[in-house]
Amino acid sequence: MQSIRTMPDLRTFKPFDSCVTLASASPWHLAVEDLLESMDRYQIAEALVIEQHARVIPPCEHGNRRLLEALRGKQRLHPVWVIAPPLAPGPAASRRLVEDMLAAGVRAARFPLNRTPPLPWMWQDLCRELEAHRVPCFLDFGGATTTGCPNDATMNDLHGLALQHPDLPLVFSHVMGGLGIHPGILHLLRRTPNTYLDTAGILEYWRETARDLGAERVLFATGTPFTDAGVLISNIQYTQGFDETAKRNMYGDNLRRLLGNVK
Amino acid sequence: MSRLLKDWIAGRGLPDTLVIDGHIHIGEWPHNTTFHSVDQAVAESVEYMDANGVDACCALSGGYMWTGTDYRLGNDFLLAVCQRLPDRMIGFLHINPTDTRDHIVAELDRMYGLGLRCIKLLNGYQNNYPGDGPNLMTLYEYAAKHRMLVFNHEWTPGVLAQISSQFPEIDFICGHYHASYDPVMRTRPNVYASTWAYGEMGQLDRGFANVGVGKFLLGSDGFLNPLSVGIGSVVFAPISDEDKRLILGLTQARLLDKVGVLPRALKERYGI
Repeated sequence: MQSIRTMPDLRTFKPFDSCVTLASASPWHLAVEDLLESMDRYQIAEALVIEQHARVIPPCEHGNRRLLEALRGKQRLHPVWVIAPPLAPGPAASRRLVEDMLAAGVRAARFPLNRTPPLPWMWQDLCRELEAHRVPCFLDFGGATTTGCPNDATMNDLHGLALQHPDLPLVFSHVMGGLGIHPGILHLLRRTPNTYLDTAGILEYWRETARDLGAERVLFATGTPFTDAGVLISNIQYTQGFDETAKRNMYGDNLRRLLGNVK
Repeated sequence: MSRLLKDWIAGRGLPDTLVIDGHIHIGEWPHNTTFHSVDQAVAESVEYMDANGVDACCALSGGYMWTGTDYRLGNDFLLAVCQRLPDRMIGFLHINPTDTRDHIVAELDRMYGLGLRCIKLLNGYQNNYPGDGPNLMTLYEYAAKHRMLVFNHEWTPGVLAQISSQFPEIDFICGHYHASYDPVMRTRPNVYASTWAYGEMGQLDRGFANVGVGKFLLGSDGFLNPLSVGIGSVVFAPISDEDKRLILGLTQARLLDKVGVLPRALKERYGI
């Protein structure tokens, strides 16, 4: 039936997908051309893109460099580097890593927390450098896919990191825990204004976050190719209780603002 | 661009299209914020449906399906909501097969007597009770005799092939489509699947092509999820509008009408 109240047109939001993975790994295959075709199909304007092997096989820089090559000239696609703390302690190595990343035109980072736990003493140098540049950092709890969920110890560590680095945006990305996400996530969101939640995990957590903490804390994401964009694309558009500005922010302007803030 | 898709993208919902979400949950849920009272469920479910252009929902139980709870309380909650929304909520009673056979039959009798003709199962989460276990075979016999629809979160393909052959008079609906169901969906006329699956890119598109659109029923796991998680996958699919309409509501309507619970208001509105 017709909606009782017409919702805004999806195309006016210019959706910006904050979680897409280029993959040439069985059974998922997503090349740049496939991705652009999918984005056209679902009216997605832009996407943040990760390289699959950077997520799952160290050293990350191999996959990160391949990603830059693959995205060269593709204005709608923006690279995200998977990065982890350098072995060498102290700020110098972390500073070099972040400067390299920024010099390559990369304005977002992704933390592979499934294989590098967020122990604050291990991450503090890197987070300090990222914080100085206000780089948004996406928290990846997944294994083979970007879908995952933190455990108690990880939540505890993330609490420490978020408090120690209040100007570092930290995004809970593609979090999905079967019948629910870790309850600590909702508590942490309420205690640390620099944390965000994306919409790829469905359920109603993102909506609750937007309602209780503000739409500026939510970022649109599909988790392509590990989840089908058709499942996620219409959810913000058709949700009730938010005005057009709030929906536009969630669909893309929040992410554009975070990326625009990178120094 | 398809007219249905054009309307949906433009924010108009799905005008002139019967939309029945075949997989939504009503009731308190252990891990998430859903409706806490019958009044809230009645008021807010209508808001969700109206916002998304959904005519009606097949309402399955909530948290009282879990082992350690009394599923009859869940049925009471469900019934209370359905009785207040007779044109928009079609109730699917729940049975926990780990209960005794006598209790199970008593609850089936009670719910049947109150007008429910559809059953929802979740044995995979109930001590992993087998889909062809003795209590469920009793339930299938009851459903066959009383002409009822049976919906399950999940069966193994092998069990589904067996029970759908043994009970050809029952229409069986799998709660979450997966490609492992393709063979049984192709070969058994009385086996269907809900489209709702948090699946990988292209999963449903391949299912529509491999099995045929007539075996798929719109579903979302609302109101835990936005209802649009189900609709989006169908309206954006590379199939005709006619095929989309089958999935969005017409096939579900036929199955519900077969067991006598398709609301008259929907029949009249859409000329069914």
